Amino acid sequence: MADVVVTDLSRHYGSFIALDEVSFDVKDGEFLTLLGPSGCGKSTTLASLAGLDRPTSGKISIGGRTVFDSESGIFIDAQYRDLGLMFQSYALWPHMTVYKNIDFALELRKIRGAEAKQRIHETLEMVDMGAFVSRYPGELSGGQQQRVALARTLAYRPQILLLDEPLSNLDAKLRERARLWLSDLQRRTGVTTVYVTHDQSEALALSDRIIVMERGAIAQIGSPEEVYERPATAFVADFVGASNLFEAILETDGLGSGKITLSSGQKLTVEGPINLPSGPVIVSVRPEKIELSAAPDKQNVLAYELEARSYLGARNLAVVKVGSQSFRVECDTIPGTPNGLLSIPETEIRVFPTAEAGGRRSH
Amino acid sequence: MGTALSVPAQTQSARVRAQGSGHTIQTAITIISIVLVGIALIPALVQMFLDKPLYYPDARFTIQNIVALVSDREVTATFGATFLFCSIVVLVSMALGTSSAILIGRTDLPGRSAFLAILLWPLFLSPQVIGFGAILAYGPAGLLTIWFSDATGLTEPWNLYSVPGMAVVAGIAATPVTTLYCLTAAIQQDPNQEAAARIAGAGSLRILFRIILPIMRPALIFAFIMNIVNALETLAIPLIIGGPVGIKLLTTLIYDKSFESAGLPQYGLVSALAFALMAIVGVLFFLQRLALRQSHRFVSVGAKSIQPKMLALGSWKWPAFLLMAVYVVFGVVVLVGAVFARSLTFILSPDVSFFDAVTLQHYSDVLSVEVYRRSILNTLLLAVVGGALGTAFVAAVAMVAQRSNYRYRRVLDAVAQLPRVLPGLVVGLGVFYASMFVPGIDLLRNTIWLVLIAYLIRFLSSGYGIVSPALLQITGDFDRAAKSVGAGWTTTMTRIVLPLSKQALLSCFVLLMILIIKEYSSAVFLMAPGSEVIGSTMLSLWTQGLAGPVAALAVMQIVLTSILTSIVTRILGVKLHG
Repeated sequence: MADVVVTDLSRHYGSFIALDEVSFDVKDGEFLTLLGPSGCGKSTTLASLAGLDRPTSGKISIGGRTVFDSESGIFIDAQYRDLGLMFQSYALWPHMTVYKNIDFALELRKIRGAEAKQRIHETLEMVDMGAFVSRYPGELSGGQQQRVALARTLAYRPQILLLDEPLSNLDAKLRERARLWLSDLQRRTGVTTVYVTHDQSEALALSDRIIVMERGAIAQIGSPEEVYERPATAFVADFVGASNLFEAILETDGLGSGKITLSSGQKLTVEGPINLPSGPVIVSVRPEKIELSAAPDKQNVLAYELEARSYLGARNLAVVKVGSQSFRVECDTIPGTPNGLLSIPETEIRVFPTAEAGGRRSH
Repeated sequence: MGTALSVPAQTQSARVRAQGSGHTIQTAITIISIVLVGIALIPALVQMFLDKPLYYPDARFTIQNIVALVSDREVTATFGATFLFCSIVVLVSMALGTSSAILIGRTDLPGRSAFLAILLWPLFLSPQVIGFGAILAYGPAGLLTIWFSDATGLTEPWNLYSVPGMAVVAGIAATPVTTLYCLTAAIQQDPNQEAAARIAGAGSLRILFRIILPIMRPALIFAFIMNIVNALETLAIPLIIGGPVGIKLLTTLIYDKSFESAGLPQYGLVSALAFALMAIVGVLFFLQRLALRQSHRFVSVGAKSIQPKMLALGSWKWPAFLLMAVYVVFGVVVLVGAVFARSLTFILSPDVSFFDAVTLQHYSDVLSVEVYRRSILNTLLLAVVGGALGTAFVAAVAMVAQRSNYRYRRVLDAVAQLPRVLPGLVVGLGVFYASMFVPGIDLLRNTIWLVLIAYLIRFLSSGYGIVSPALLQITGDFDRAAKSVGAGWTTTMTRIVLPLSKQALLSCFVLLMILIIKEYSSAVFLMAPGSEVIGSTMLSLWTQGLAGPVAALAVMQIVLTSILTSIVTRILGVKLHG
């Protein structure tokens, strides 16, 4: 087990900057997720950690050993980093049985005989695949392949475990189960894990900490709660949990709190402290924080018109219109009337500077 | 109510009619295929049991021809040489082809794409031309032989006119095909499988032997068998290199026995030999199916999220580069270069300056002498007409076999694959026999259209091998969708499947043209004044010792192939390898 320190890591492809001076660390035994849309640099970061790709500049150390340092020209190849990487495609070797797939890495580490056998069986039991030792990958289902792939990376007890969208090839139901199972396995083995995904619900469910990435840079680092409840930028607010985002005009009262004016002219109060100057801002409100059928004397009450509704099973989704502004609202029940009042608690309104999502959080 | 009922009834009957017309066409296509392949097989089969040529009225039944296969000294004497020849050809071709494919497809070898481009040249050359090139460069009086012995002082550093000598040349001629088979397998490998091994701690060499090569196993088995088949049935190189010094292989024996000047041609023995050859090839294909059936479905799932670099050769980089360069220069460039140089000179020798010997005489001969010119035009005509007809035929066969519910479609599928086990000589022989007995076909005797029939039979499997997998990749939902809107089989095929398989059909057309321009062995029995092709003219000129015009014709053959393929690939945008 080991910790990872990444300092000012950059990766340029010609004039394209895939990674721009990214720094973070992973603590021993931590489950850290790199979250972001495709092209945000998360897979590039993972490939740099794994040693499959040589970054342009920066420094990486794993368990106290420097594996990459552009200044002193150190680059340790993947072969010598002693990591485990699980691929999105699993990359199981099709010509080897499940047993051989796992044994290969043990063989390279000179772990033979009874110990190898025991480790392989132990690891396979851990992923509930003990009955499949002599199968070939082509004879396994997607979910089974995924388990074998994980067993293959765990059996030789790598310093850290790197997971590259390991659940994305599973169907929705299987994915949910695999998520619980993966999280449980990680806690049991205690292996330091870096997990790459574009799926925010996976990230929230699994991680100790999440790094949200956008266009080659880190947008926010924090616990799942922090990232969800207090997004640092409009981008994070939108990417994690799909907020209602809209433009408005902010007026601060000089005492830290303020009011925003919607495009329809209606005003909402925002709880302070606000560190933004008056002027145009981007506002974010979580769909589940908006309350329909509100009493007229509540805070920030607005009249709405019901536009569309869809039934999600456990919850309902309503799209309502306030003036020209649409809001998505998640709630338990949707009132039967086409019109009504909604309220947005002032504590649930976040305002961000309009100059693209890169600016600092103000609230 | 009445009208409402009559409408579906009408469409129903229209649909039945459409299905019916499909059935007629399907039957016609199947019958034509069986007849064509039968033409190549049946007369030779009958001849095998006759003591005199089939056309003699007093020919009697005998099994002497088959007995001769194991008792005739002359026949059994070829077995050893044939075995040695095949072993060396396969060894050379597999070693060079596999290493080139892996170096080019999987590693960071410098100049990979340039190597690949040159390495594939021989695909467009007939084995004859490669044989000529080898004699001009490496024969006893060849340029490189003399340079080498001058430089080292060794007299006779190697002997091209030997079984190993001609086997190495045939192996080099067969290498590009091996490279192509393996290259596809090498490129299509999920690079993550390599990356996974690297992460697990494996080095480059270990990845090569434990991961890359084993995963390529199906392709390697396929290439191995194809190489044996090719080595067994190759005629041109043993004929021009081994012929003058009396080395006989199975194929050259068949050739000699058919053209024996003294007495009757021993067609019975020839047929028996041909069927023996076919039987060996057939067994090999059977073994291949067996071997490949056991290989597990090699799956790889999903997108490649991490694109790792090619396998790093490290300190092996430049030695590997050097080895590739040696192969490409001496195995490809020199052979082609010698033919080009000879076509432009009176003589090719280290003692005579190239510029003193330079001449355009050979080209002016080739273009002005009636026989030469005719063989070029005939080849061109056969390539274009044969390519087009062949593609149409292959498409029709593939659609019945792969995309219909015709009762005998499995039979048709087998028939279409059968010519793969028919050596070119056997096909030529069969068509030659047919031209003597089958009414209708005899009218075509001594014309190039008879040659065309032989080519269509010979290359049916080659074309089918391109079109049928492509058809399998087009989802059957398209057909079902067409059917659901009321289209019959014929309409579905011509309006939906045909346009969707355009790329494959164009590739098939290009392949057939290249094969036809190069083809020689199936045409040797069918040559007559007026129906010469480049291959046959080259051979007769070579036996007359006219190396200059042969070289010029060889260059014309190369030029013809390049022009035709570049027209089709440039204008129609066909990808050649794929």
